[in-house]
Amino acid sequence: MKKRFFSKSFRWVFVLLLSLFAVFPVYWMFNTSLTPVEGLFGGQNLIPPLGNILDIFNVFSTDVPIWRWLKNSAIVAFGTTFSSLAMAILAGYGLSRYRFYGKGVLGFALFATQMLPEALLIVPMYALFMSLGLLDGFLGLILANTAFVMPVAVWIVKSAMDSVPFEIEEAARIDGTPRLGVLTQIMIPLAAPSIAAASVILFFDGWNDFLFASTFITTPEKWLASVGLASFIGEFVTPLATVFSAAIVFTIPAIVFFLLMQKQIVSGLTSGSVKG
Amino acid sequence: MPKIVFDKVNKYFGDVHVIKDFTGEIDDKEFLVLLGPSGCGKSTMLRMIAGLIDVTEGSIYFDDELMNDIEPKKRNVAFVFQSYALYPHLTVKANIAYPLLMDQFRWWWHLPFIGNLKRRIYLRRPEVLKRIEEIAETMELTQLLNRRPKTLSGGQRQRVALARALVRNPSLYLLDEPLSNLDAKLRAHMRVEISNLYSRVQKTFIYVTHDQIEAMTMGTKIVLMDKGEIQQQGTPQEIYNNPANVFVASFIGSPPMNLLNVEINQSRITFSNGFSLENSNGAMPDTDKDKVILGIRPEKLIKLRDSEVGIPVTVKIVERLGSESLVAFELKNAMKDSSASESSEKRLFFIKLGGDESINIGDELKIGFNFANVRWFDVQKGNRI
Repeated sequence: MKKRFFSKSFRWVFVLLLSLFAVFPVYWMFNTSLTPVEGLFGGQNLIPPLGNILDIFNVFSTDVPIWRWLKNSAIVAFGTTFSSLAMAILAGYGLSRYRFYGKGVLGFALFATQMLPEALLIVPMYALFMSLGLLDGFLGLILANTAFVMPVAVWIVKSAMDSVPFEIEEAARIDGTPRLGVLTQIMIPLAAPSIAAASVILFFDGWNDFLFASTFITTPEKWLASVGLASFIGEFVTPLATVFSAAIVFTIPAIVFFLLMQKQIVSGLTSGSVKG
Repeated sequence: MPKIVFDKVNKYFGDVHVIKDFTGEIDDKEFLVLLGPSGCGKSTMLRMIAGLIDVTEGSIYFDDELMNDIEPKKRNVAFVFQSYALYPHLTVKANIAYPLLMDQFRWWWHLPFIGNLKRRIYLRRPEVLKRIEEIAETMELTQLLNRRPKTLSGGQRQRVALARALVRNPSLYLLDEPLSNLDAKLRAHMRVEISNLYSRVQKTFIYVTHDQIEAMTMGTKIVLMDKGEIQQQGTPQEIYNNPANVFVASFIGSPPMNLLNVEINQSRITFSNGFSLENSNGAMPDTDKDKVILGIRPEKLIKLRDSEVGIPVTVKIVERLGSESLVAFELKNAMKDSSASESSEKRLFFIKLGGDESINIGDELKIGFNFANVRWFDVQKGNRI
């Protein structure tokens, strides 16, 4: 009895510590954004002044074009998500269902792309984008992000489609579904939870992109929010409260997207299709 | 309604030759059973008929029309899978209506959400609802229409799969071991259901199974396959009574036909235990070889009185089934010298006796038979002589 109590308490303490570890940066960001600059250097309050919570949104009324940056980030994030998903679904289906020469090599090559650090390729990509006229535009950013994150989505979608029994596809063909219809009417709905999970990864990658955005985009109006946030850091002064307020605003759309997708990420959708 | 003709159909998977020169015909409104042990190629054959896999060599015709390159949908067949293959994201109602829905398919249904929306609208159409309800009533699914497959039992799922096959009025029904995932009682029930369905719809059925009881009770014609080759085709009775070779003789029947190695010398037959007898009615095999296989069904063997002349045997196993007893026996050495005992076979053979016979393990019996019931097989090739 005593032993059980201790093991249970230990588990709770462990979970609590891990949660603190994960939540602390968010708490710090929140606290800092609500504390006036002079307070930051004179011993910060542990509990932020919650009465001023709406002050976070004052960041919109400053002369910083945060709306525009958020909009730019959204274009890149959604662009990356949709272009990657479109390719990942087709590639994942192909890798899962068709036999073709070089299938194993292709699967490995997709993984190999993940071994290369983005920083290593940014110089040749810059040169390539310059000659293609893709610099300082969202299309170039979407393409660059898609190239790096799409392989992950391919593998997620492929393994989801691997788990759909062959017979379901055969049944769909007998029932008169066209070839592409098997994918759109049967396979995609059945792989929906994994596709939703993949879309979260893709969206976050586009939303959080900093390296490509700061290198390829030169016009301040086209900055993404991530680059915009970094631009606050001045040579002499950094308005910390504004930076952290903007950072909170920056996380909100990503959280909303995640919550929307989370509903879709439910497992066990294929159970009941075949025996068992 | 098509008459189906197979002309030297061959199928290779890589280097593996799965179907070898399959040639035959299926008449209109026939209930054909493709029977054979696991891995004999019967499911592959069914998938080729459905158009799910390509024919490597040879041709399949429906009413003189070559079907090799025709899409599954255009063949107008229904397929019931061993694993049911229901669409788990759709309700029972939508599962049943799916083939009808696909008849209306347009390219823009591929777009996200449009296909889903169209399906919902389509399922509200009165004529569709009426058709679904008709089918649901015959398959006793009316109460389950709004449930999803995962909430159904095995038997219910199988009925949904059958309902989905029925809904489009196909001209050919293909069933791939549809009962093998069900328990014994439900299997017997569904066997009757499928037979009823066959007599009601009066269409051609092709039914794949490895279960000879299903084959014998349901089929109007059986094609027995082994290792990708047809061993025999005919009515269940023909196959049971006149097996074409030792494989058929030992596959059909439970227990299978007794196959005894014998030596023949004019009209005298000598068994491996040294016992010999004269063939009184003269129906000897037409062969010049002196060693043949004598085949006889367990129910055609007769237990003789001790005073009569018969093959001496020793009882090894007795299975009392109530109405009858199944007795397994070994041939008993009939010769006094030991040389014969070495050549004597130690295999078990079977005889069916009445349920009230008092026989125990170790008993010694004398067994006889009528030569009219004997089938002769070649020792080397296994063919019937």
